[in-house]
Amino acid sequence: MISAGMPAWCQQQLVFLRSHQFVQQVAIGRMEEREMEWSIVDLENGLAKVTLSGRMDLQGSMLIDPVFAGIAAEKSRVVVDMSDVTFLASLGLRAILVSCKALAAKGGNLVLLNPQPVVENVLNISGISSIIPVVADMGAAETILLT
Amino acid sequence: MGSDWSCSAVFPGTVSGVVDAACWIERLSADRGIPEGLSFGIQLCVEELLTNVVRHGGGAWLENAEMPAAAAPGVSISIGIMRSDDVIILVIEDDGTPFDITAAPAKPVHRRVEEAQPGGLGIQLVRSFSSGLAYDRTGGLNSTTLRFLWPRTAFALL
Repeated sequence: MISAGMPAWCQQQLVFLRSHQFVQQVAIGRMEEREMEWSIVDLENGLAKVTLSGRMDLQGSMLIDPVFAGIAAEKSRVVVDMSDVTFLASLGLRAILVSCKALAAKGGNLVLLNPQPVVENVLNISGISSIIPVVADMGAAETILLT
Repeated sequence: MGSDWSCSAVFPGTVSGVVDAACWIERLSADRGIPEGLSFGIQLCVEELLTNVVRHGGGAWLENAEMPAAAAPGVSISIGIMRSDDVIILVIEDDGTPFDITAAPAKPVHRRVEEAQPGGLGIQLVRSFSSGLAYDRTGGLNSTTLRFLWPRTAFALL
């Protein structure tokens, strides 16, 4: 199981890990009320505000993908309020990016509003924040989308 | 060290298995008092690597297709995690299609949304959030090992 090609730190740790036989087992079970929630509001200034809450992981993405597909089809200038999103993985990024590309293709745009620091870190590391604007307040969102 | 521990669990290589694994690692992180930033990184890497197994490791999960309930039937994924001093080691093993994350190409950087492609984001996140990454394939198993460093705080000196 342990090959000579692996770095030393990895080999030592694997030997230790396997020698412990994984003694501690932790109960496996679903957490309740883990599903993402969302709302979509058409604002008077012509923007659509999408508010997301929860974890944008695989489970969340399965729920939210059709929502983003609908947004891309029906809306034009979109603010996605990320302030209650606690987790963001690549499938969530994918949903946002695919939707943003579809909006851009028809002359629309999308901005991300007020992500939590851990989520903003994912946006930065993935490079998404360099192609989709991330703003701290609605005023900044309006400046980008309405001018 | 009294603070050392190790845990493991096995999950089916299905969407439902990934969801269960995400719950398990989230709860384990809380129970073990893993600091928020580190916990986020570990959860993210588990999510990305398991999603990868289900999507590409033997299933029929096509780009832009609806996600099937069981994408990679027959594939199983084991997760081991241990703390030793200020290091956390995460080992993820699966019997799916060979995939060496350390050899996967880097994602090109784009500046315009029209050019950006959604693929490869997960690999980039795993590389960034872990402080060490190794891959081995032996006996028909992919074995991906990640290292994380426990953040040093004033409490660690007491």
